[in-house]
Amino acid sequence: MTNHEINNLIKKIALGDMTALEELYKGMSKPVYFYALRLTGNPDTAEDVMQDTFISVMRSSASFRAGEKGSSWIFTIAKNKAIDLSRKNRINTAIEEAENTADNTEYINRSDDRLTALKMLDSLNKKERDIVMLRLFGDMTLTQTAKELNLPKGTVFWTYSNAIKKLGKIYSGGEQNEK
Amino acid sequence: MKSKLEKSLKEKAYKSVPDKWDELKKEISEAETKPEIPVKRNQKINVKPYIAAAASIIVIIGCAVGIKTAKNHRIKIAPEGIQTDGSAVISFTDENGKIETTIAHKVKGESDLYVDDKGNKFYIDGNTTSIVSAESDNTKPKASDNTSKSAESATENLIVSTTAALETGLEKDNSWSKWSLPSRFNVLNYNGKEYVYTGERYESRYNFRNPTVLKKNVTLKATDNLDKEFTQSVNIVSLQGFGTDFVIGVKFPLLDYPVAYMNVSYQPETLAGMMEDLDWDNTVTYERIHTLGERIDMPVSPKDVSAMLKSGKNAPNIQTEPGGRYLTITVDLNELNVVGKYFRIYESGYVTTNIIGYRYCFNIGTKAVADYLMKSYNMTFAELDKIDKASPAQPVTDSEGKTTVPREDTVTITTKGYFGSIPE
Repeated sequence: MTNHEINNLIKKIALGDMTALEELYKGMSKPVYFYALRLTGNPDTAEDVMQDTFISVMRSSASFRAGEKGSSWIFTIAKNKAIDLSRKNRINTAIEEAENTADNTEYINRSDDRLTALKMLDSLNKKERDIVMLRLFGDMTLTQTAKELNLPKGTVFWTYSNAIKKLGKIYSGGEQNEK
Repeated sequence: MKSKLEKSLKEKAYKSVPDKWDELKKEISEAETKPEIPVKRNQKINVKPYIAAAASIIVIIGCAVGIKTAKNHRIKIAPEGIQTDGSAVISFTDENGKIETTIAHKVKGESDLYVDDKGNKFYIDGNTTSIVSAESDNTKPKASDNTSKSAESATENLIVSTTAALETGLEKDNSWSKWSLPSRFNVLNYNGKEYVYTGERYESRYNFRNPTVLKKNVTLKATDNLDKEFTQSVNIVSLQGFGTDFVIGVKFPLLDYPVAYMNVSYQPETLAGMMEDLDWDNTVTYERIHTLGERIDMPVSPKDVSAMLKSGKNAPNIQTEPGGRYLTITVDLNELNVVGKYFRIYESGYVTTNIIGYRYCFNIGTKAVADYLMKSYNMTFAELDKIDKASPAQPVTDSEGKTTVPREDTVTITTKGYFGSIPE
């Protein structure tokens, strides 16, 4: 979903168009989920964040300003929701830790069906996982990912490429084994 | 461009995330129907008698023509249907399985009874799920008013769309079948601009007078949730008082009134342009004005506000976010059923409003603002601020009905309408 599309949908939502909200939800809920999952490390909380984010998007759409990047605006809402919910749920995983140094692997150790797909990131280190989670699953641009992780764009680009190569080896190997 | 591997990884990850749109929709609709949300829906029903409020209540009724009693059927009624106080567009199947569409009018004194021109009776009871029964009496004379004539011309489209509902079955949640006509054909292009139907909130069927036809027989296209394409011929009209740059009316043959469609990219060039397009002086009403900390409510003089705005009427629409102290006026645009929006006056000379969805900002100058304050309240911003800070915090009720008292360092902005909160 391009920012142009997102911006147009937000404008329509501001005018009360529920089909636009649905379209935005279909296009952005999953990136928001993974963004929240990276922050909270908890799939249940991530789902709550996803839902709350879109309620807020609907309610705040009127104050969305032309010229803003729709996706950044949505991710900012999601981040605030993640912080709120994490506090409410008394999750010890502080968002700051998730953003900085803590190796947030709670989702990897859980035997949850929803996390099966994410376990493929198990072979990556924290930085690679964060970058893949945001860039690939969160549908963020290189710039957005770099900004979010406070890393230079070049580092994000290089780390992402390496991580994908690494996953390629494991993933294609896995597929062959399945055959 | 993402590689095949990236796409595959992404797809796999996305599959693990549940689609909770239905839950979200339910949550939103429950929040919307909470009585404490001051959306003023019921206030719209100060309808002129000739106007039929016809949200599409599409129901499938096993109706045997000529038989006095019919089967009962469990149906769902569109939220718009619950809100309306006039007629309802109802589709049902006759004994041959043919779908008929009719307009039924509410019977006075009966809370749930609707009757159409052919004498069919429809009992619609409850809010979301209802038992509907139908009776038909062919011996009754047909009314030959304009509505029934226009209904004939649009029946075909409705039949087609209702067929989609039949195919999927009512047990499935076929939202298309429950949408009103404008909801189905909710986007149109006119003069190179995209206009969208924005729901009942902006549906000003009650007050549009003497619509002038701008373009006849425009074909609207829509696709239902089974990917079937439908078309509908409509007339595009201007709505008295409003600029067509901002809003146009769409006259469906089956509906008695034009429905408002708004330009989603509307950007007035100047303050005067916006005031003209909105017919500001005649349509905008001021609810209350309060200070930054929401501790002081003051009376608003529309005359003074209007004079202030006119003094800066040539101010261009600019993209900026002014800072500093401001007063907030809660404004409504009742003609379009817009309520609880804000209009802000900044000490720095800016005025901003979100009255039509997104924020517009104009710099009318510090003098115009200072003059307004002095004229209306005989005070400066600094003096008002001082009083505001010295006053006890007023409890604030949010859109979910929760009441909180703002902390001393908190700036709380409340709006009363559908769009409840500031960006987070």
